[in-house]
Amino acid sequence: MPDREVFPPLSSVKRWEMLNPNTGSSLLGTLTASASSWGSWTQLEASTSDDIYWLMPTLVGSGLPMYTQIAVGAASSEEVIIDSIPGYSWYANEEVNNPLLPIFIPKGSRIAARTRMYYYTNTIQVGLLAGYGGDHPVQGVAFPRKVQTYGVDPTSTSATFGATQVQGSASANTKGSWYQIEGSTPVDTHWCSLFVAAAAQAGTDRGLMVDIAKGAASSEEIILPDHWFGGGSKVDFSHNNWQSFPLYIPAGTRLSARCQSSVTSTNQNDVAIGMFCI
Amino acid sequence: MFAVSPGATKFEAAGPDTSDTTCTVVTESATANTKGSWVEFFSSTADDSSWLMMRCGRPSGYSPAMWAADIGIGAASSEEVIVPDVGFCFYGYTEDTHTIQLPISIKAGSRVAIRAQSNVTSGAGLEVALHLLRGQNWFMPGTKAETLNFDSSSSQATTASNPTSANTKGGWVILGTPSFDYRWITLALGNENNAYGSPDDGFLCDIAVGASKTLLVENLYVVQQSSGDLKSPHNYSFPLFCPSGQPLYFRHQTSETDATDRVLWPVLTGVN
Repeated sequence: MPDREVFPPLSSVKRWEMLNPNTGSSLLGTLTASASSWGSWTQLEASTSDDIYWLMPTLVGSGLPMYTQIAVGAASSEEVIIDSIPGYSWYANEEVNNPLLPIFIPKGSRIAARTRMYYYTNTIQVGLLAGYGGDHPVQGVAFPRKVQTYGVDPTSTSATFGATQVQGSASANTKGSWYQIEGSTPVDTHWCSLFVAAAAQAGTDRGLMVDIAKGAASSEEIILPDHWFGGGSKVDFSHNNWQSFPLYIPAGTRLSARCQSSVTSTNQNDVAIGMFCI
Repeated sequence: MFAVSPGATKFEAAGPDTSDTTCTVVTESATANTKGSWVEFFSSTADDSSWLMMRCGRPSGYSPAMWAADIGIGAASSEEVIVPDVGFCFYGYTEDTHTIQLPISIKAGSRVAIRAQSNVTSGAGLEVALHLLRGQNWFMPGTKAETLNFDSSSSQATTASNPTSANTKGGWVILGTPSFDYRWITLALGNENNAYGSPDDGFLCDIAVGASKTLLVENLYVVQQSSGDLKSPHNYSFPLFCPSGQPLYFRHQTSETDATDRVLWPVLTGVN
């Protein structure tokens, strides 16, 4: 058994390949979501051609938010390795959701995905940009194989479509209350893909800033201060729902978030937040 | 090669102004395609940092524009550019907020500044937030960066990628030749300032290396907006080994049938 888990060096990625592209249409292959339940598993790759060290799931929704699970394993024995990735795209097929994750998938793996929606049925484009590596001294080490999802509940019927709703203050340009994203992280985190999207149904030009913190309630210590977004007339934050970076969070950490907005209108001063950690 | 530290535990930020939920403005020169003045973000960084996240957006003028930013360290009037000409493409909507992520080292006590240029001269500049990840990390951060296929005289790509028909890969265009090994890249994609494109247009992008055009990236996916004739997102940051001295190439295909809307402007920044 490997005696420790490490990440591959940044120089490890020698090649990236999109799995499940549709080159005939210049789009990605589609999955059909089930309403309020997970759809069927769809195979994205029968057998990976090489070891994968990094993965960039690439999701483009059709209107309302959708959630996608990525799994490895034989048909009917799929093991979820990334759970409930939100695929927000208020305008159909326009906004790419693409968390970057240093996850290991060994050569020869079958990869599948399935998706669900709140209460509609629709399709979502799903591809996996796979980063192949090599030249790794693997004796005695293992690479991370599963992503922890915090703050996302695809079964939720809330206005935030399943990600934790973080409400801004009733006063403009003032941070609101802290909202818990995760009570206690089960494992150490070395890499985080942060999902932040507008929870509003309509938008006006505005700025929003989010703090991410660790620590007990009333003793929050900010680890990402004033993460800034420009909100606009669209519902969502076009182009940048996802930010991925190498942040260390020890196991047993409580995670929370708060936000502020330059406006106070209802549904203009809040955001939906999820964290995908590995 | 592997971890000497479990990782950095918090960011420090410069640029965000919580009093009005805006960010520091970096103003372009009054002369198009000319770098403006340096704007200080950190007078002295608190710790060594291993990672840089730069978010910028909301350029006024509300017309499509290409921007490029330098990140520099050093005393005022003696700034040394550590990341040159990172590209950003804006349509002008306020929700346009673009990001680069770079594993680059900045020593504690550094003064960090940013300057920018654009092919437009609205004078309103970009709002910029700069976050540095404090402390050591499980990887060795880079110490240098360079940008390929950037044309300072137009603030956009030197050479465009321009397939001649829909859903068929175009010819390879050379991005340039790395002067050192890259371990990480940021790919900035812009396009023509054309009228509104068709929705649901997809773009599948390739990057290759060497005379034999060995694929390094195959079918990176980009989409086109119906409400703004640009791509979402415009900047992609990820690890990739690109060897020194071997030319890099770019090509793409798209479902877009309009000849002008098919064009992409790729600008690539490499880090080691």
